[in-house]
Amino acid sequence: MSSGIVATLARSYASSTPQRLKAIDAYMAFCVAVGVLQLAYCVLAGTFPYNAFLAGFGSAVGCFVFAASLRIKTDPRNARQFGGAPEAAFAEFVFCHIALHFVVSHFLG
Amino acid sequence: MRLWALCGLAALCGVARGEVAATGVVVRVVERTGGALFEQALAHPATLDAVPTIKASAPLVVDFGARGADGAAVELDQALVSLQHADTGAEAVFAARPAKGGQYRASVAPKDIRRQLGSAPGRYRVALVLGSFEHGGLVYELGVADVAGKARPAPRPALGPKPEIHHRFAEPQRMPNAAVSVLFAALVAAPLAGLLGAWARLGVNVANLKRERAGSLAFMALVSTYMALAAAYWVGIRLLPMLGYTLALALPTYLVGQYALSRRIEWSHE
Repeated sequence: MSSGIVATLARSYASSTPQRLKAIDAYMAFCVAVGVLQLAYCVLAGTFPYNAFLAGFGSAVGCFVFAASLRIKTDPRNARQFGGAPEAAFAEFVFCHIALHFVVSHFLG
Repeated sequence: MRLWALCGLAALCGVARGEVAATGVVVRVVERTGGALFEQALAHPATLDAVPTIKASAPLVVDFGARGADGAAVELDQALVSLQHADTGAEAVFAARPAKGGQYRASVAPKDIRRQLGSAPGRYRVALVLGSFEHGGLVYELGVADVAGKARPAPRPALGPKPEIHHRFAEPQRMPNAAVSVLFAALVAAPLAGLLGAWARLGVNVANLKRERAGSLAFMALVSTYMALAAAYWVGIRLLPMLGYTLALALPTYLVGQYALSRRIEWSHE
């Protein structure tokens, strides 16, 4: 039963999701994987140095959040609500990343 | 010695004028529980018949009053009980407190003597020292009493350097094996290969860059420069120079990005 639901979901996702959104989803999955691996290292090997863990994990979380925002704004189904061009959303995405990574590099120590 | 000089002066005044007399003098050694181990009433110049022993659990209590030459009760300006060590001559003086009916009471325990003289058990001469500015003074030798206790030498101050302080700093954090750190670094980098593979499968490519090559390349170069600046800040550049470079790159990046992305919007509507 559950495998049928998952298969239906996967087929619907593959057929109805635009290529651009799939690329963003792949990037978000990448951010989750990186964050989980860093967390696993922290659990296994300890938190030292803690600032480096916070920087790396914060980077993964921040990138995920910005990608989620980009996905929402570039989804054609939300065009009426947000109105702006996807390129404008991408420009915001780039600016947020620049600011985030300056903070991350400051925290790395 | 100074105290005895003052008491002597008061006594001389008393001898000269002889106007203060001690009345109702009662010397007791009383258990803390209330029982009297020794009790004797005295009239000047009589002295104690026996030698009472003052202990920690049984202090010496002296009750007395005073009257003037006219027989009226006198309010004393000085009401002291003096204990002088028979061997060393060291003296401890205790003030009596006013009690009911114009009487005075002094209570002396070994710990009170220790506060003034240190640990000095032995035989003491007990005296009552009374004084009044108006009526004169009196020194009444009551007798002798023994103070029980162990003789302990007075603590001598040790002058010299204190022991060296050895700081105990925090232990360095235990780091995992280098192989574990390298393994996890490789594991964290691995999803990047997965991402690039997923993008390749989705057909993500840079073919559309040809439509606006200069602007797109310039924009990506400037964004890459920002990321390199962040890496350089982590490695060594200080904050203020880094902020200066960031500010210098901000306007070109904005203008180039605005141009490149506007061109993309234009040809996407074509």
